[in-house]
Amino acid sequence: MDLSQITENSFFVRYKYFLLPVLALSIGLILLTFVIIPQFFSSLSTEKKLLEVKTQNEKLIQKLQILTQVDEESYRQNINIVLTAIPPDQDVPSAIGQILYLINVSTLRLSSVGVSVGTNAKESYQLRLEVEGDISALREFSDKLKTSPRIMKITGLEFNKIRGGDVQATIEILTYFKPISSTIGSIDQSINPITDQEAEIIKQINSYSKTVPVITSATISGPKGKTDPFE
Amino acid sequence: MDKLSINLLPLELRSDTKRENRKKLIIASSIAALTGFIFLTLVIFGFRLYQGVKNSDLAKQTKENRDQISALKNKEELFFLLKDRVTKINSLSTQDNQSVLAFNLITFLIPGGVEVNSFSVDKTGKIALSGETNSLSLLNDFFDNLIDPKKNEGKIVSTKLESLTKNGDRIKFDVSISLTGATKNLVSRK
Repeated sequence: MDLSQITENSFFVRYKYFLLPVLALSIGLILLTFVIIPQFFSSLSTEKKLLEVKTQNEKLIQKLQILTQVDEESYRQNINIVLTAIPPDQDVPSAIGQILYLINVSTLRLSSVGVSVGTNAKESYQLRLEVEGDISALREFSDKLKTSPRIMKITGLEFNKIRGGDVQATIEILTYFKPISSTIGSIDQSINPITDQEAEIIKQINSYSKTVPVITSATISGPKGKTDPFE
Repeated sequence: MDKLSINLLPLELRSDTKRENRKKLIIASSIAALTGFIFLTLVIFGFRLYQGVKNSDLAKQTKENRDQISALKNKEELFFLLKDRVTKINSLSTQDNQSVLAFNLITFLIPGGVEVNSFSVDKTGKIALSGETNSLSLLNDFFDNLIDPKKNEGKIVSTKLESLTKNGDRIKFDVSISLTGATKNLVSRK
């Protein structure tokens, strides 16, 4: 048997038209099963992650734009304005000071004032006033309270008629405060710019504080002077 | 005149050529399929490579933006403080104040000759009112105002006359009134 006979009888030569398609199909299936399909699904999840990163990046760019436009000086002024509306602590003297001013302006007579200070978590506490005067004065007081710089709300109102058309009223007023947060959130946290409506609120509070004097604890306690008088 | 075509090749030779062509087709299709699979694999690898480059670019951009934001920490603190407080003020100013609404409504609806002896309103906007007058027509006007949605701007849901007494010329009354918000609160609690 010579070499040409062996080659002609070899397995590959005999079945070459059958083996080649089988081999091509096998390689194709292996590629499809172990490379193409897994990589396709993997690329889909990567694309999803890329989209998330892109969105996050856009938020960061937006945040950066907002922060770049922040004018520190005007922001400090606006913060001082909004801190008169909602102070960082309970600041009871300031609240009572404002109430007394409004009672005086509205020609009501104060009989008693009580404070029920709750916990800081509630971010509000109640003032209970007993006043005397006519109904129009009571209405004036309620109107002026709405346009006073410190945010307060009448939550309960009762009155009874006493002598000469006057009434004796019990007014419950909710006074708000909000401690300054010690954290500002993560860098990735998106922010929304100050809206026109919010800017208008700041303007309004500023105008209110021009009509009703803002009494703060600092004003009440006054200058403290030197801690060591011999220095 | 049509030409005659006559195939004089032997039948065996013709079938051999057919078989040979079929075999060539099988081999060509196998090679084409294999090339197709390899091409697809290369495309997907190329796409993965592109995704990798894009990912590293985005990560670099994100890091740069984060660094820039960190550098503006003072401004960020000021912004958060202002925004947080203004948001709170805004939310408080949009809340309805039932007590003031009730008081203003009653003082608006009550006619001049009707005196209010006592008035109380709770947080949900339920009003208890007692008063007196010596004019039946004024009292009638007042009750009309309470029950007519056009006059009370639809702010009153229900009015209940608790008592009505006449003592000489004076007519005394007690009414309880529910405002629109009071009903809303009750429904939301259920």
